Amino acid sequence: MHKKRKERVKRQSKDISNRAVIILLLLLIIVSITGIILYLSALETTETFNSGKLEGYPNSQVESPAKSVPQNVGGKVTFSIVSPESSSKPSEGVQV
Amino acid sequence: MKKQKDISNKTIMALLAVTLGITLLGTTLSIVKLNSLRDTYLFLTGAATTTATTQLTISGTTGITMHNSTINLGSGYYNTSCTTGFAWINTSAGQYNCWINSTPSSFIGHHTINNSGTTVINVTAASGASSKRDAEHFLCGSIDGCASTVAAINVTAFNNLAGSCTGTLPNFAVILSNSSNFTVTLCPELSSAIASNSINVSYYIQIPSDAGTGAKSWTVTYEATDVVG
Repeated sequence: MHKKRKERVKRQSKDISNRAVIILLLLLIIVSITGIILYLSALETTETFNSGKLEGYPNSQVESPAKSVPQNVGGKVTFSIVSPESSSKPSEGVQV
Repeated sequence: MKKQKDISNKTIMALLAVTLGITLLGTTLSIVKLNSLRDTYLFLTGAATTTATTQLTISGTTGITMHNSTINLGSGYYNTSCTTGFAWINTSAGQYNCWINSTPSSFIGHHTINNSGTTVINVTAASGASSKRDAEHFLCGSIDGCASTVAAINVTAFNNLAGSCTGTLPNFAVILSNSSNFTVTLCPELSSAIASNSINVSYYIQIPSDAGTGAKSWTVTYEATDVVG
C-alpha cells in the first residue's frame, strides 16, 4: 500500500514537471516569434535611414544632375498670299 | 475524477524541434542582414543634430541668341496652271514650285541660332503653345481650316559654322502637318566654342491651292537645354 502511494506521488510529480516544460517551451516559441517581428520592424527603420528620410540625418546624394533653366527664342516665318489679279510682277528665286 | 493523460516525450521533442527551428531561423536572418548593413555604416562618423545645408554651384550658363529672326517670303499665289494642288517653297535652297511670286524675294532664308552660353546645349524647335497648332492653322487661318489635306511645314538644319553640331541634324522633318504639330530636335549637342557654335534653320512650306489670300505669320520657338553628360 505504501509502495503504491509512493509510485502515484512519483508519477504525479513527473506529470507536473512535463507540463512545466511544455509551458516553458510555448513561452520560448512566443518569445522567438516576437523577437523576429521586432527585428523586422527595426529593419524598416534602418531602411528609412538609408533612404535619407530620417530627420536630422543629411542625405548627401544629389538625385538628378543639376541643369540650368532652358532658354527660348522665337523666330518668324511670314509671307502673303495675294490674288492673281492684283499682281503681275515677275517671280524671282529658282523655279523648279 | 477522470485522470488526465500524460503528454508524451514525443510531443515534447516535436515542440523542441519547432522551437529550435524558429530560433535558428531568427539567428540566421539577424546575421545575414546585419552583415550586409555593416559596410553601409562603416563610413558614418556622426550625424547632424540640427539641419544640414548642401551648396550647389552651376558653373556654366545656358543661352541662345538668334540672327535673322524673320524669314520673309514676300507675297505670291498658287500657279493655277499647275495640277499638283499645292505650291512649295524651300527656303534653304531658294527654290519654289507652282508659286508665282509678286514681290521681290530671294526665297533663301534661315534663322541662325547661336549658342551664347558656356555649356553644350540641346536645341529644339516647336510651334509654341500660343502659336499655330497645325499647318492649316498657319496657311488657311484656322485649325483644320483647309478643304485639302496637303498643308505642311518641314524643318531642316545645317551647320553655320563648321563642326558646331554633334549628332544628327534634321533633314526636312515635319514640324507642322495638316492636323498636328511636333517638337523637332535641331541639334542634340551644339558646341559653345566661339568658332563653332552656330546652326542655320530653314523651312519647306507646302501651300495648298485653297489657302485663302492675306498675310500669313507663324512663330516658331527654339529652346536650348543644357546637355549634362
